[in-house]
Amino acid sequence: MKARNLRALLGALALPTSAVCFAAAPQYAVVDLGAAYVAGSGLTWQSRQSKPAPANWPSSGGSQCFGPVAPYIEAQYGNVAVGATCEPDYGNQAAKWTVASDGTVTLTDLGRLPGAGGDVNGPYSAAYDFNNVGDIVGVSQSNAEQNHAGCPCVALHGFIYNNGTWTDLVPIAGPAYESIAYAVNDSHEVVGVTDTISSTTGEVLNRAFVYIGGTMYNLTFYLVGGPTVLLSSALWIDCQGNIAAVGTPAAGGTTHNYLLVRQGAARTNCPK
Amino acid sequence: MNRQFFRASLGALPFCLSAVCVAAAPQYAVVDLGSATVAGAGLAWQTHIPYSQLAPAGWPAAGGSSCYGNPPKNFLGAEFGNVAVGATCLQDGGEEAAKWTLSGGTVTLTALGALPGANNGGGIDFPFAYAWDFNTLGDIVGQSTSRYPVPVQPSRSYARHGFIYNNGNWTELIPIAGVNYESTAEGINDSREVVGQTETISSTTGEVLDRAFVYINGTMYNLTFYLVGGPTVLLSDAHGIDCQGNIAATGTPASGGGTQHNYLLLRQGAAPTNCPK
Repeated sequence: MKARNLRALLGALALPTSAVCFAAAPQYAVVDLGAAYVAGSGLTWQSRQSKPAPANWPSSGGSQCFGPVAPYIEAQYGNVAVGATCEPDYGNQAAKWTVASDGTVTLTDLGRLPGAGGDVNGPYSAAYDFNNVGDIVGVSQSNAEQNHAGCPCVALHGFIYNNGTWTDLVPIAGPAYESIAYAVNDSHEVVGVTDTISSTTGEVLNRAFVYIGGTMYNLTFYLVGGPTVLLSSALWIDCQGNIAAVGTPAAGGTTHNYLLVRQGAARTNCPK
Repeated sequence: MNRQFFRASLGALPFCLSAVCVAAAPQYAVVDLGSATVAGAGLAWQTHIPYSQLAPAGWPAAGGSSCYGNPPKNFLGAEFGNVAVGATCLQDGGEEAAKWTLSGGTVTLTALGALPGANNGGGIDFPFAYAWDFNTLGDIVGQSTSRYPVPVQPSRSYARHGFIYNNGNWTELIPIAGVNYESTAEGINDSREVVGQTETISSTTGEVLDRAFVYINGTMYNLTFYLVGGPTVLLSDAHGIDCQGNIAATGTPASGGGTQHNYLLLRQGAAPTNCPK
C-alpha cells in the first residue's frame, strides 16, 4: 500500500500513531459526470472566465497601464468583485473593488505574497474568489525560485489573503513548484491545483487539492473507495464542502468532470 | 394532490389501464450544489449564453460578405472534436442554426435553417435559429422561431421553440404551456434525451413560469414533478444531460425564501453501461 494511501486511511479514521493524534482528514464520495469532450456524454462545470472591469473602475496603473492589460474581474457577488489591477508600466496585482450605494468604486490593491520575487514581466498576482468572512484567494509570485522547466524564474503559489494577512499555499511538491487557489467557502476551505511529484516516476503532476486547517490535501487520495480517479484540478467548493473537480479515471480514459460529495454531517448554516 | 405530481407518482410505476400501457416516467434524486448567487456558497454549471462565443473569423457564414457586421459573425453553441454547432449570420440580419465540420484545415458549413413553417422575418422578428448541442448520432438541438404567434404582443411576434434536427428532419419541442409559448433545447445525449427550458402555466395562479424539462420518447416532462420525494425544488432550467441521464439544473427551493441554487439530478434506475470512458 502506498504511503499516501495509508495516510489517507489513518487520517480518515483519526487514528493515533504513537503519541501523535491526527485530525480527521476529509473524505469525498465521487459522482462521475461523464466524459467532458465527447458529444452527448458529460456535464460541465462552469469554467473560470475573466472579464474586463468596467472602464470607469480605478486601477493602480491608471493611464500608465501597459498595453491591453486592463483591470479584470474573476468573481463578483453583490457589491464586491475581485480580480487583478494593472500596475504602472508592467504587470498586474490581485485586487478587490467595492461598489458603494452611490456608485463610487473603491480599489484595494492587495499586492503580492510577502517577499515575492520579480522578473522581467513585472509583478504578478491575481485574485480568483472570495467568501463572506474576508478571505480572498488566488495566485501570486512567491519568494521561491522554480527549479525546473528551464528556469530560474519565480514560482507562483496559491494564497489566502485576509485583511493584510497572507497565507502561502506551498505546493505539495515543495516551494520551488507551483499552485493556484481557485475558490474558498465560508469554512475557510480552499480548492485549486498544485504540482505534486509522482512517487513512482518522479514526474511533476498537476493535482487537485483542498486546503483545510493548514493542510494541503491531494484530493485523489481522499476519495471513498481509494484513488479511483486522478483529479487534476478543483474549480469550486460550496458551503457544504462539496467540490467541483476535473480528472481522468485511474483505469484510463478521457477527461471527466466529477462532483466530490463531502462525507460527514451536513452543515446547517448554509445560505438558503 | 397536484395532478402532475400524481401523474409522476403513477408514471414511475409502469402499469396498464385497460389495454393501454403507460411507459415508466423518469425519476431523479436531487443533489443541492448550493446557492449560486452568494460568495463561497455554491458550485456552478456551464450555461448557454446566446452570442457569447464567436466562431473563428475564417469560418464560412450563410450570409457571406452580405452579413451584417464586419467581419461576418458566427456564434458557437458547442464544439466536440472536429464538429461545432451554433448560429450563422444571414444576409441583412438574423441567424439560422448551423453545423461546421473541420477537416484538414477546411471548414464546411451546413446551414440548417429553422423549424419548418417558421415565420422568419415576420412581424418584428429577424430570422432566428440557434443550435446549442449535439450527440454522436446526428441529433442537433437548439431553439428556432416557430409558426405560432406569442399570446402577448409585442414582445416577439412569433414564439421560439426548442428543436431536434437530424439530417433534414425536424422535431418541434412544443412548450408544456402550449404552442404559443416558448421553449429551448440546451443539451442532448446519445439516448436521445433532451433537456432545456419550457414555459408552463401555473395551475394555481395562471402565471407563466420558466421550468426545466426533459424530453424522452416524445414526452416533455416538467422536471420539478419527477424528483424523488416530490417537488422539493422548483427547477427553472436544465443546462445539460450526460450519458447516464444525469442532469445539470438550476432552480430555487420550493419551501421559498431561497436564492437560486444549482442542482445535480441523478437519474434513477439501471445505468447505461456503454458510456465513453
